[in-house]
Amino acid sequence: MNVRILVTGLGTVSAAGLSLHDNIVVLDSGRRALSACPSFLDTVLQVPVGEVRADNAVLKERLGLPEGRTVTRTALLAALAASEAVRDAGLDRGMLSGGRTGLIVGTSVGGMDLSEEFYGEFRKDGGGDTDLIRMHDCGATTSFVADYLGMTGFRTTVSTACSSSGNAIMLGARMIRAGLLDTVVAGGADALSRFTVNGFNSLRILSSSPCRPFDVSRDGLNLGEGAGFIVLRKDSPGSVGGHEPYCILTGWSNTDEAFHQTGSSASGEGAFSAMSEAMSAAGLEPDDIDYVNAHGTATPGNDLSEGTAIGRLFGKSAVFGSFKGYIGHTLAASEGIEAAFCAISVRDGVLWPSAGFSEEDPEIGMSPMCALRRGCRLRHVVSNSFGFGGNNSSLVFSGL
Amino acid sequence: MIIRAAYRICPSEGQEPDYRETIPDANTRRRMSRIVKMGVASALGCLDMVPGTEPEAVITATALGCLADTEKFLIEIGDRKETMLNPSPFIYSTFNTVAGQIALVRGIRAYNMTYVNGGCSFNDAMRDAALCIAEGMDNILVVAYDENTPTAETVMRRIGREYIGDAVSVAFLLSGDLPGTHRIPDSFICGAGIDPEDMSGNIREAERLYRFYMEDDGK
Repeated sequence: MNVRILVTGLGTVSAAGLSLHDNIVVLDSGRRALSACPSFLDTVLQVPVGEVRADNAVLKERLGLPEGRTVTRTALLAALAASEAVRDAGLDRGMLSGGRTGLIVGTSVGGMDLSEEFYGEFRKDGGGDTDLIRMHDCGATTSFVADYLGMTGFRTTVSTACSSSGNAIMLGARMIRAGLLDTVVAGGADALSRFTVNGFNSLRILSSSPCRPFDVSRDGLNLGEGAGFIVLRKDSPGSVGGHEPYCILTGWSNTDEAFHQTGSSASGEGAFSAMSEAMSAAGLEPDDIDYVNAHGTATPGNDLSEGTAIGRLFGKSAVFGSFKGYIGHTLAASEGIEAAFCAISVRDGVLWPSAGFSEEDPEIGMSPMCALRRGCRLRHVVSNSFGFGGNNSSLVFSGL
Repeated sequence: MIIRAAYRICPSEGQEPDYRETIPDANTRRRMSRIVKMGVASALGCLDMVPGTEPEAVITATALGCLADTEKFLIEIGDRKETMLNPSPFIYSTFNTVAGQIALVRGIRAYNMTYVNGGCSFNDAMRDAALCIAEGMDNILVVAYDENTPTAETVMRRIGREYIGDAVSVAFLLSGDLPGTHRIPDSFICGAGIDPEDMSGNIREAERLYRFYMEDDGK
């Protein structure tokens, strides 16, 4: 019998707020937390973004860090969400510093928010404040969070673009199941940076208006930033204390579509196989799934591919939606944040409407769920995150 | 866990294949930066040593990723004032580009993962490979790669950190224990004592395992 993996703590930071509670208030209200253009990020690109509404000084204050300390925004966001998840799970100092608790962080930009500041100066005259570059590498974000939380056990950092935190969570579950760890804090973080905003702009997949996942008129995504972490705990007779579990992580899968570096196939092969394999890992059939949290970025390509795969796997009456219309696409943080939302969905029986949808795309032939639902019994929820390099991840969260 | 095949590319030591043979498609080759070409070619070279092998997992490890393309895109952003940018350096600067390209070139639809944990990246990738094997998978491809650039060289010197001399990529095809073969010592899998802040650790550990493989009679 495989060990059960409980989800016992949640933490999120996004454009919708600096805590899970604030994020849920925004989802409940149906308000989209996107801004018309960045206010903290220094860029000429005036495109809608899901920007965390706090500058680095405010984030440092929340974390109790001296304002003069140089820390990347990615690491600040990560520390904020991870510490919320750890508190929520009731992990005490002893558990955090013990060798049976791990930290797994997914990020796609790492410390780029400060590196690009450094590079501007460096290129001008070979100067630049080297403190800005010390946290460039992705592992520095993880080390910062571990040190901040007093975690001394296993820690690692993964980067598979927009599916990074999905894969971080999956790795945590695998390590618990293999008996290597008992508790894992897993998720991801990404700050907005000129690098990524320009990158996605050069790919011509940014929308100039609030994004419209699965809508016939969708024309691109809005970038967001934030962090999301969940605490996974081995369910064993001996494990006591901590938070009452939200749900169980029962299935996971990571497959590669091997189709295109940045695009996905119209038939949705990659999404189909990731979802199918995650379900089969959980021992479930399509009929067992009550909701699919789609990656749903609102690019024409992703939503066609993913919608087609959802239709093929679950039928045209599948209940699905996307959170991107609320907070934008937070890249490596997206599954960390959305896994926390899914955990609340499963525990409380709530489904939030997919924001930004008005007209069905005949090519997809189905519509996301657009009404707030409470009191539903959600047995199992599939949550998707797909990234560059054809990297597709699906997780399955199940009721207790 | 044992090593079925290993393949190293290190141009500064003259260890470099003819990329036209390993990556025959000229368009694919042209779009790839030097380190992406090296990473992909080392993987394919390694796979070709055991013909007919379809890996069940592709795991890459890098400390700093595709530095040249990252810098190229930063220069574009500055010089072109954030307008009309060529997306290629952005696309190929992504940390999982090598893993994605290996999957794409060979049509490998399996588990695909990239570790970016500084100096510990390679050991973390090896731990994942061991986990994959324990879960019942076989033929795990692990590729460690890193490149240096004049900028990285200067910056590393200024902050007083060690880094690799020049680009290196090392690929391993790994499998579960077989009778009569030598197991990989645990020190390559757990990596205790390596400082994640030591960016040269990724390549140093991969090369240490490569030497172990080359010198080991029981392979």
